[in-house]
Amino acid sequence: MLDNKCPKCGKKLNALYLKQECPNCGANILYYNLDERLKADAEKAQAEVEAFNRFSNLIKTSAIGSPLQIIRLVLFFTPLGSMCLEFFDVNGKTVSLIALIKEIIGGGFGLGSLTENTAYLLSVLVMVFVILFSLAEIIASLFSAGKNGLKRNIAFSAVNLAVLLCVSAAVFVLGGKPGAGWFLTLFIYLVCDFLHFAVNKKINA
Amino acid sequence: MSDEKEIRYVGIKENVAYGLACAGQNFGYNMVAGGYMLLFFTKVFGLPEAAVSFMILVLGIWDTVNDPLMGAVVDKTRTRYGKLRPYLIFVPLPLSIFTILLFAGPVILQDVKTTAVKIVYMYVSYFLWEFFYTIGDIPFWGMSAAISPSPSDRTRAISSARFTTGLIGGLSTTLLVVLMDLSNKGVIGLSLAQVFLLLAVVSATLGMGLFSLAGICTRERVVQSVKEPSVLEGFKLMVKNRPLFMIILSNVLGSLSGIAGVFSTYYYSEVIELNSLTLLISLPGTILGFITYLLIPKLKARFDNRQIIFLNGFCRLAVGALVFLIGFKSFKNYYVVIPLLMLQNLVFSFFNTVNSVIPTEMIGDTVDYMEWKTGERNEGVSFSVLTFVGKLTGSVSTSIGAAILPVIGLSFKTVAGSAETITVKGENTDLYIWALFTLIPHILGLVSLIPYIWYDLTGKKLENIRNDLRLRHEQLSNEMSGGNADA
Repeated sequence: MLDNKCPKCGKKLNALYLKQECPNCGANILYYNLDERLKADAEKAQAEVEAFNRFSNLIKTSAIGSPLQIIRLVLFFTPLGSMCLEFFDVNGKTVSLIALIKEIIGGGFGLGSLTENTAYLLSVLVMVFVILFSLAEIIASLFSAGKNGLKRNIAFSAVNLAVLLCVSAAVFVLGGKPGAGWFLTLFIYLVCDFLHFAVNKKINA
Repeated sequence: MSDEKEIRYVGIKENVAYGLACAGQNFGYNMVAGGYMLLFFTKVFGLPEAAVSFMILVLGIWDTVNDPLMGAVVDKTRTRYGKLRPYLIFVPLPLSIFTILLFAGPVILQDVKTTAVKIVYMYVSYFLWEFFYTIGDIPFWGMSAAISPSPSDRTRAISSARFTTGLIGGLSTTLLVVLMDLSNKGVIGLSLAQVFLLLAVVSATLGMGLFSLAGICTRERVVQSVKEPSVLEGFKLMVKNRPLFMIILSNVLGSLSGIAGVFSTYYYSEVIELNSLTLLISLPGTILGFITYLLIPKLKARFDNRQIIFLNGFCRLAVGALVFLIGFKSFKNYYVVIPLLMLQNLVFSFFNTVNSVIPTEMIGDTVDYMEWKTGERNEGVSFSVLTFVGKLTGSVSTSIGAAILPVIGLSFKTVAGSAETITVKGENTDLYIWALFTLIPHILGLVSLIPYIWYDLTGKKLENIRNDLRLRHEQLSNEMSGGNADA
């Protein structure tokens, strides 16, 4: 940082004062007590490294500390696969991640196609929420070994599940039907919930 | 002070700040040196290839004087912030202004029909950008040697800088190729000129904001002599530094292999006609490159720096030749070139990562060598070599590339009555571009290995130098710590 006082006499220095010597006591500002300042730097650097190591060990333990954590981490990404199957059937139209991507590439996807059918709009929103909230759950899971790790994981998981069920319910009310992908995603969420408890038990063992 | 090699003085925050500063600086630099400058001046600004080629060569030669001169000025500087930090604090603001002006030409002069006016603008804007870039770049790399007396700290600082640059600094060219494709296909309502200007503004604000961290968040910890060397003495020291001279010579010869970067741009732009394909192809390399930074300490434990340089050169040739032969008949076939170039990029990333850290560290070793030999440290002049050679080779490569364009039958013609340019190619132009992208540069690259035969700052010699310097630094800092400015 920009030091603004002499290390020897403490005289306050203007930021634009560039000379090496203090105007008050004549000390070499840059190198005065260099040994002590280097020792202080070394201690500070060591403290930072230790804090970083603690943080990275936390992430490592939470994410890949044992086969159980690794399975959980992989499972978080599987909704991307389950959404490629038929997620909803809305008035005979298949709604899935693959169908959506094909529509975007083909140029048929737009605000018009979304708003013409409320059930279709809500079904696309469900898939967007699944992706976003799964991402949030992944990030939260990286801190499983920290304080309140289990509570945090369960909270994110509960929100994820609640959003999936509530918005899907609206799709069903408007005439949509769940497909194989929807049931698989629900199953994955429930398994992840179970794994949060198992991982917590493993970490605290 | 005990064994300096073991003690860590530079913390993680300072390392990260140094890395982010490098990324910010390179965000704008990559647009100039990333192979797109020639494309910008010829295709976007509509200037003749000969004029652009000549300008790049002339200003490249100007750098042979400008960079060492700036280095000598830096070495002569003595302030309470150090000799490098004042420049790093001052330069981000003017550099941001001239970055915008460099790429604003086509927009500012869109109604100007006279080519001479545009050429003058090109010279002035490029010269001023280069001038301020030099004022920032030399102290920045000098800081990698002055930030700590510990070699491990220096390696970490350089690795942090190179890694973060690879991650963030390359975003400018990533965004550039995507926006260029979207502009060419009419998806976004921006012309190519506006795309370049937009990225220049981002570079000037975000990039320079990050670059300012170098001046604010780092410290110089290596004791300099109280006596300021004169500018002439600085130049004399550079000439006496034989190991540094070998590195300079190697890098200058390496400009021949730099044409790969120039023709990489033309390959994606004019042969495959999909600029953003480079993003997909560079993906495996980017991921592996990250892992390679973690392997550098293990590599250095097995080989010395000179051995690593030789290994790098020969492996590049082998891989480049293989890629050229495999793609000889199919270099326009997506199903062949995409996996082939991804694999090449994957292998090259390993050597690119190592090559981005090791030579910079070697220059730090030559600074130590000269201090051991003469009592003077000259980070400014020594690292000016790094920057000047980097720019010279970039300029020479771009200039050679521009000169080769008419030879291989590639040119750009402006459509009468409009600002649109069309590409004109000969019968075998595409094959020549493929060869100049994959094979020829790596054959020419072997020439750059020759000077390293006489580079001897390795093993026992280097260890003895460091031991001697450790004792001298202890003595000098004891003298200075008494608060005696006349020590």
